Amino acid sequence: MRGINRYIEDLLHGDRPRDFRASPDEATLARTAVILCSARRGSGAPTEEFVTGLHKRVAAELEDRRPEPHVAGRPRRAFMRAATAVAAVATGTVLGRLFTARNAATALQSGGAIIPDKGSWQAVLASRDLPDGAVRPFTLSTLTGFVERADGRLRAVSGICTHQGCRLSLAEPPTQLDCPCHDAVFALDGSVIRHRLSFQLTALPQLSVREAGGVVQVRAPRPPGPPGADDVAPGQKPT
Amino acid sequence: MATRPARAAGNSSEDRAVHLRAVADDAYADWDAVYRDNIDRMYRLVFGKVGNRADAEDLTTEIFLSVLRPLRLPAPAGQVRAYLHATARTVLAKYWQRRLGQPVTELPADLEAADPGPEPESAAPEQAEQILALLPERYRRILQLRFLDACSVAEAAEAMGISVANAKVLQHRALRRAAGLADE
Repeated sequence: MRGINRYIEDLLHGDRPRDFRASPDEATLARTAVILCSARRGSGAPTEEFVTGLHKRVAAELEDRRPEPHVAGRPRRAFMRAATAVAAVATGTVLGRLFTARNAATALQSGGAIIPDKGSWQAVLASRDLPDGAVRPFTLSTLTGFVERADGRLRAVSGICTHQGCRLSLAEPPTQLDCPCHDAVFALDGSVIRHRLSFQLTALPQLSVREAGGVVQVRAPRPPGPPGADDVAPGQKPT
Repeated sequence: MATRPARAAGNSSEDRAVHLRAVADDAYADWDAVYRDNIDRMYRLVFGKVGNRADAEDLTTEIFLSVLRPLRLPAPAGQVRAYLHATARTVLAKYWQRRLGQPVTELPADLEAADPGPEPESAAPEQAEQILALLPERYRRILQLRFLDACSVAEAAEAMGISVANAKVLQHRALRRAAGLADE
């Protein structure tokens, strides 16, 4: 019974369930738990970060198959969604040339989004403190960033400049992130708006973000400390 | 991508218009069209099968990357969607074998259709509503609180005015009953 109970608890926490050897009855229980979980409001849609990230990865794989130079105005370029076009084209083509297919996939994943090896969902603020259209800074013990709710969708990016690691601040009005060190400016989706450095500046990595039980949670590395200290049920704020 | 769509030289908004017509004519001209038209639906479908984001993202990635090579574009949209769904079925079967050590064979019609059409999404949320509607009130309530509202067991117990231990037992029994309904 232990395996199935842990499986269900993992699902309820929004975590990836751990493998176990299920009996046929337990497999049915697991499947029922999945069906119920999938009806959780707002949980079925992919995050913008995932959709953009996989798009880049697919583009990189295709780029690797066709090594000819990337000509401006090729169809793929024209069809990219306006909101993500700048970042996607910049990282997609540059990395596609620099890495082999296998490496490119890895590099894009770790460069485009922060996906910690040992991560957990950590509450950053109460849902009611992030109305539609709002942007809020947050600080966890393992990272710092900004979370935004725009048109009902959540988005989070790292709050550390990709140049030398200075901490970004929210501009007024809150539409961009400013670096205090060398005046680099990032959009809230992480893309670079402008800078005066002589080389290509990398976009800010995005963070997985979700809402559960009235709190906004970000997927962040587990803080060093006693194991299990951050195993927080959805809806409970970590202390 | 295999080809670039036929189009007159022009600015990007004209490109987009040509591209959208190509989709409306039910053929995918290139990979961007395939991706943009299917990513949301495939993710929802997979999420409805695995119930958690990490697995849903991994499996969706696996599906798209494994159809990348064999697929020749342009191709009729129906064929591409059927191919994506067939791939999803294989990937999910492998997933269950690994996760639970046994295949989970029951798959609703949305994975079986030859051409699932442009709009079908995961049937799982509706299935959940149907199961819940058939349960006794207290069973329905505990599952609603725990699974749909993301309450902790303590919060669910408080909302129902019962002890945490009772809430755990109730959840267990309710899920068993629900599984009986889901299995029919």
